Amino acid sequence: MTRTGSTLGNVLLLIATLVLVAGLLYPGWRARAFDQRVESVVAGVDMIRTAAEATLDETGAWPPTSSAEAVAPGLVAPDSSVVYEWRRIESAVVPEPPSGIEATLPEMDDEFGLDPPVPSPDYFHRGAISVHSGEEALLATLLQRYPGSFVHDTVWTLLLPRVSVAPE
Amino acid sequence: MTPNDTSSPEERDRLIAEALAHAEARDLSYRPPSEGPTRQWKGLVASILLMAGAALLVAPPTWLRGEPVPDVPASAKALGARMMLVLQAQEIEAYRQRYQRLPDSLDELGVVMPGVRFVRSNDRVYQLVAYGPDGRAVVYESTRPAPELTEQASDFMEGIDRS
Repeated sequence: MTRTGSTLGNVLLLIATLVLVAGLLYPGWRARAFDQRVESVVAGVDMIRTAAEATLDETGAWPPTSSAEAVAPGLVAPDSSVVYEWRRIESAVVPEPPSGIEATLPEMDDEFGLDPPVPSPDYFHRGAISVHSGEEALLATLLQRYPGSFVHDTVWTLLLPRVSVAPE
Repeated sequence: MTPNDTSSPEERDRLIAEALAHAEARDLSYRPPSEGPTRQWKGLVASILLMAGAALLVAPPTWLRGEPVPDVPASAKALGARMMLVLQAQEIEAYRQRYQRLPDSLDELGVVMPGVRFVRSNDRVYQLVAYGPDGRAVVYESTRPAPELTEQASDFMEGIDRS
C-alpha cells in the first residue's frame, strides 16, 4: 500500500513536469510554425507578383485571369487551407468631352444634322493577387505586410497598378 | 533431518520465531525511511507544476509566445467589402462599354470577385451586394453609387497607382 502510494506520487510528479515543459515550449513552437506559414505564403505571393510583372514587361499587359499556378509555374501552397488566385480586372473610362466643344454642339446639330461625337472609352487592366484562408491572423499579417491590399471575408487581395491597354 | 526424525515443540517454536524475524527484517529493508512527508511534498509540487503548466498552455505570456497575433481591423474589413463591389462594378462597366449591354450574370465576365452578388433590375440598371464585417449588406447602386463607397475605393486605388 505504501509503495503503491509512493509510485503514484512519482507518476503525478512526472506528468506535472511534462505538462509544465509542454506549457513552456508549445507557445514558442506555435509562433514559429505560424511565422513559417506566413513566410511561405509571402513567398508564394511574391512569386506570383514577380511572374505577373515579368509578363507585363514582356507584353505590356497583365496576364489574363487564370489559376495562380498558370501565372507562376511551380507555385505550391503551404497546405490545402491556403488557395492563391490571380485576376486581371478590366475597367473602362469614358473621357469627358471638352467643355468648349460641348457648348457649341447643339448649334452644330441644328445646322448640320450631325450626332455629337461619342468619345471612345479608354480601357485599363489592373492585376490582383488573392489568398483565400480561414486563418484571420494570416490575413491580418499579409494586410500589415503589403500596402495596397485589403481583406474581405476570408480573402486577402493585393491590388497592382493599372495599365492602359489598346482597344480591341 | 530425515523423514523419520521428529522435532520437539521447542525446536519448532524456535524455527518459527527465526522465520518470522527474517521476514520482518526483509520487509523493513524494502520500506522507505520517511514515507509520509515525502508523499505530501510530491503531491504539492505536482499540483503546483500542473497548475503552472496549464496556465502557460491556456494563456501563455508575451515573453513566451512573442508578438501577439494580429486581427484584421473592422475598418479594413469594411474597406474590403467596398473594394470588392467597386472592382466588380468596374468590370461590369467595361463589359457594358465593350458590348453595349449588361451581362446576364457575373459568369459572363472575365472576373468574379468573391462574395459579391449581382442583381440585374433591367437592361440598364443593376445592383451589387456584398456583406460587411457586421453582417449588414453593402449595396452598390449602378445608377447612383454611394459617394462614401466610391470615394474611399478611388482614393485607395489612386494610392496604388501613384506608388
